[in-house]
Amino acid sequence: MDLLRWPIVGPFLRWRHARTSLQLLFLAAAIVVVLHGFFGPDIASANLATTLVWVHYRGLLVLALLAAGNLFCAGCPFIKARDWGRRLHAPRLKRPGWLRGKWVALVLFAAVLYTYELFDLWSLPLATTWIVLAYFVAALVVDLVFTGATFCKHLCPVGQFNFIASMMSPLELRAGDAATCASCRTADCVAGRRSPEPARPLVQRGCELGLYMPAKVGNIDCTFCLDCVQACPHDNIVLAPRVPGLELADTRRRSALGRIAQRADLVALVVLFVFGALTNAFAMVTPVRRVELWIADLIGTQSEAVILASLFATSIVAVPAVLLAAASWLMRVLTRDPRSVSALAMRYVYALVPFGFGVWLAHYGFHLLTGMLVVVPITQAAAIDIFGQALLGEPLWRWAGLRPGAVFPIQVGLLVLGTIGALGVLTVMASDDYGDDAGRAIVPWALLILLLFGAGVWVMYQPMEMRGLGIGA
Amino acid sequence: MTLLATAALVTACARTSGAKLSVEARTVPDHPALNQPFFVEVRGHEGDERRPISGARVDIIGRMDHPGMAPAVAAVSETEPALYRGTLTLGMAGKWTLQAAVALPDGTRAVQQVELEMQP
Repeated sequence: MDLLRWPIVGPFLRWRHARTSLQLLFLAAAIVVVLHGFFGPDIASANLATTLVWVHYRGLLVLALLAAGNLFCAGCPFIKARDWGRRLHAPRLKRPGWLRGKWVALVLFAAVLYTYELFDLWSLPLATTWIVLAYFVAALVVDLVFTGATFCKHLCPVGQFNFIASMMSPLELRAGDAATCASCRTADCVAGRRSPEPARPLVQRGCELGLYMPAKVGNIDCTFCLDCVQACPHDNIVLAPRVPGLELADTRRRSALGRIAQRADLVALVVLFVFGALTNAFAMVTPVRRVELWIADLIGTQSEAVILASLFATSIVAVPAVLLAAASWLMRVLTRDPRSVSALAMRYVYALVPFGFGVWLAHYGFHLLTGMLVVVPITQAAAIDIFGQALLGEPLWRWAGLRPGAVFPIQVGLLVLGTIGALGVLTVMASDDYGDDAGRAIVPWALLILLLFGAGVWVMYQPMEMRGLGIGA
Repeated sequence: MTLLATAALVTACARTSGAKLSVEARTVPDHPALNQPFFVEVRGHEGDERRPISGARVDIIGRMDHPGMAPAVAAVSETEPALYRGTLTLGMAGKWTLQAAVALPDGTRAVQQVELEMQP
């Protein structure tokens, strides 16, 4: 099955301006965010900057990843601005050697989660606006200096989140017929397609993230840009459905990535993705203040930055290290596997991705479902501010979304699905590695997954408290 | 539950063609409790003579810091001439901003905000 051959959807996706049309939509939304962030009310719940970014963008992003794939990277307005910039100035430099892999992106991703809590970015329309503008500038500066998709592949924190989460997506771009790829001598999917004219100018770029389609496995680093579809002279790229998450167990060497279980940076990204999900959700509930105060007493400080850093260091570094090491060590004992504890941890940590995705879905889905409709009265109020009269009607402030109590079962359901997914991936991995002994082998990791599930349900059950992590607040 | 809230009274003003509209709002009691209904009283005055306003459209909305959180919207009625009263119940701890928005038939509008910190 190939969605690129479906009626309506197929012709649209194969249209060379498909991605641009999506990007222009997001660009329009970004402009609205910037304008209302600068000129709208300073209350987060009445400003389109904070509402569209922290409620709708985050919620729709994870839903799109669940339902289809990395549509938000496909529609990235920052890269559209970068493309326009490249018409004026073509980059010449290759990325520097120190900018390899995902380490810098990992630090930036962690920094985003940390500063989000430290400065209560969700409550600050102006700060949110400056973040959006900074993103435009960063993508522009980096990719006008360095060739390829340096920003996407090595820096963008949102992109790294999308890459990990898209391992759970039901769609994947892949080579259609292997024999066709084997006979291809030009590798247009990654090198780009050139005109047959003597000068052979490039008429369609290939994958800027270096994904060579015959060797592409899964969705990591795929931005769904569809450049490969446009570039392939043999029309041999398909957008195919697949079993979500199964690629997590795939040990094949991946184009431009290698073997993911041997990539410490990708493993670290997965740890941040999973444990950052729980941390990000935990930071919104009432018990976090008791934890804050305890940490403050323990280390003798009132500095929110230090307390928060301690909390993060514990929840996304120390606790995962202990849990993963313990699960791997027990697995090694039970199976007498000759591999080291770290090798086992780096292989089996990927089984946690479905659970982490479930937590992000439960958290961002909560905010989307309970606040999806507030964009209507906020827009109505903006019209009043602009035009001095209610051109769109008096604001319907009662329009919000589902009641929080009604969303809790959905959240639990998403956590259950994520946990089942994690156990499923774990079982596939263990079956591949241990055959008939898989049942015994999975016990430590299954217990870890169930422990995380319990933690997730507990966090989602806690009453929320909308004050951020300001210990003095 | 501890009863603790801080409220700041701010008079907000708006001006249209020749008219000046000011709004005052307060909570009753001064320190509302979580999950307990309380009143928000709003008075509007027009012009330099501060003429009390009757028959205005008054919206009283409680907003949390976090975007997308459902606002608390009061049903407002004019209980005495130029005194508008609505009832709110705030069900989540944290920082709330109460907005009292007054709109006259001629389109003149003004908003006043009251900050509340609701403790669990």
